[in-house]
Amino acid sequence: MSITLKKVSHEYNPGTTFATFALKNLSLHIEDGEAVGIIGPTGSGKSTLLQHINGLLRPTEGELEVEGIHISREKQNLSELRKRVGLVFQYPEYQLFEETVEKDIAFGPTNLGLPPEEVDKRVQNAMERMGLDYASLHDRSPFEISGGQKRRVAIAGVLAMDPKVLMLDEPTAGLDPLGRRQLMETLRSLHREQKITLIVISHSMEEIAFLCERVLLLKDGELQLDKRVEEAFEDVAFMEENGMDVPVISRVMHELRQAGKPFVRNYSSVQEAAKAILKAAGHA
Amino acid sequence: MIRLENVTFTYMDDDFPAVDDVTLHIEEGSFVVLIGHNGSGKSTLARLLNALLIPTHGDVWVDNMNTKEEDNIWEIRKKVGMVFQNPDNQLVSTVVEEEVAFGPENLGVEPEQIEERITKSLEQVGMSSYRKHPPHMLSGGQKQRIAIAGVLAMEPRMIVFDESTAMLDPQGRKEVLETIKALKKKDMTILLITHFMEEAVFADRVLVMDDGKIVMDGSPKEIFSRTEELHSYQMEFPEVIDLANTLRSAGMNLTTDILERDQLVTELCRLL
Repeated sequence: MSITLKKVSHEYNPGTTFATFALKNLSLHIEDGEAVGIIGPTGSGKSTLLQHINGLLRPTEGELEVEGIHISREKQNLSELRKRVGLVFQYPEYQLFEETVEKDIAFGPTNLGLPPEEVDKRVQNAMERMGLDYASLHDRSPFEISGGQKRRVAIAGVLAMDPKVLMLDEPTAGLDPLGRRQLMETLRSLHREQKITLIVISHSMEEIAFLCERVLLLKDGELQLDKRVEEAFEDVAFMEENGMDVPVISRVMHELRQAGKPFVRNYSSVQEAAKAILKAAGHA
Repeated sequence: MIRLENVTFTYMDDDFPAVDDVTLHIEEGSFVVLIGHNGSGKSTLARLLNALLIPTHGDVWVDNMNTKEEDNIWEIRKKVGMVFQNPDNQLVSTVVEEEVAFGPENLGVEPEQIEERITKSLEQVGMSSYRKHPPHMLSGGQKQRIAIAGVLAMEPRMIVFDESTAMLDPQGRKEVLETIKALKKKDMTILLITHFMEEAVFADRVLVMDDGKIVMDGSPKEIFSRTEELHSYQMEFPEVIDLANTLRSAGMNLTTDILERDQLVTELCRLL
């Protein structure tokens, strides 16, 4: 199973003077088990794209095939799709509402009509996958735990639906430095160790470099770039022209290369860059 | 500019203070960055500076006016402006110039003077050509710059930025940071609250909060050399400093002065 978009467009207010394209003629293919980052300026269509992939929005032109389910402008029942593709909105903790963490995470699977034992299993499993300790947290109120934990509970609620694809819209926005790093590590292990397909929107190029193997750049609803992460962040000028940036470490490497230093690549992580620099300096 | 003397603030119904016995002096014209994990008391401290909150114990003085005295409140809010996180929650008007005029109109400034202030404030944030535009059509970075212009039009002496770059895209963040740096050059007193460690390196002074207390206070260089301590307050390092530290501990002879990217690149060019 995989995700394929064929010439997908989404037009708001078609036929009026306010007509605007949120997505324009988008074609792309995402394989099972990929980790894809979506970047682009505010209003470039990133969230709209995610909403198409789990069927919250239908294309006004073109079609999608997601996990074997065909989506076009025709109305259809997409409940099966929503089980397979989980979408975590921005600031998802605002949507927590139950009395306990456990009940909140159980909400989705209970609505699927699963037997109670299966729901329990799913809740425990989702909490474990999000690094939440079941014993100490399951009967706490979701409003009395830390901001980072709330966010994890909200994501666990989506994981409890057991999706094959997990999509997150700016998952670390507003978290503090430690909360951000811990969540990044959890998401990376979900992808690497449990092979979940990951699609992540972020304004932080460092996070994209840390989590993803491939990056899509959207601007004005159009796909401007679709490359391997390391290749994408080599082209500093292109990223800047499109209102984006590169990870700060990539920029250090880029500037060293510009100064004629012998580096073949713009490594984006501290560890990789340190290794390359130490080697060049004869320290390794 | 601002003095806090043994300031404690406890929210109603809370057992523990959000700000706990803080004594602090912020000098005129200084650029101070405040960091700390979520719930450490940063935003509460910020709201005590312009009388949005009044201390439960202790005193906050803005230019020798106590925030406790109700008569001082408007004078204090004129002097200490605030810019918040979400650009969409701060803008109320349908045209940029009206948005900027909102503050001074409420202060009863003369119309001709308001015109002048609008022109000057929009110039300072680089948004003069958007004067007649509707704010909701602008990008996030532009909206934040309009919010800053609205504060500037009140002619404050200090601006507090409470995570004002948190929700912006890379371009927007860059625009707002450039605007803040330009204000610093004009001797505006600035307090910037942020979760982005790389924004702390531009400051004259970095404060770290934990459990309602100021637990670290020093220049960026001092703060970022206290590795263990900073980690114990759940803070991370800007990646440039992280890379410099990694290289240094592997035996490279880098100076300890490196805070920003260009410094690291210059040093590495010397050594490679």
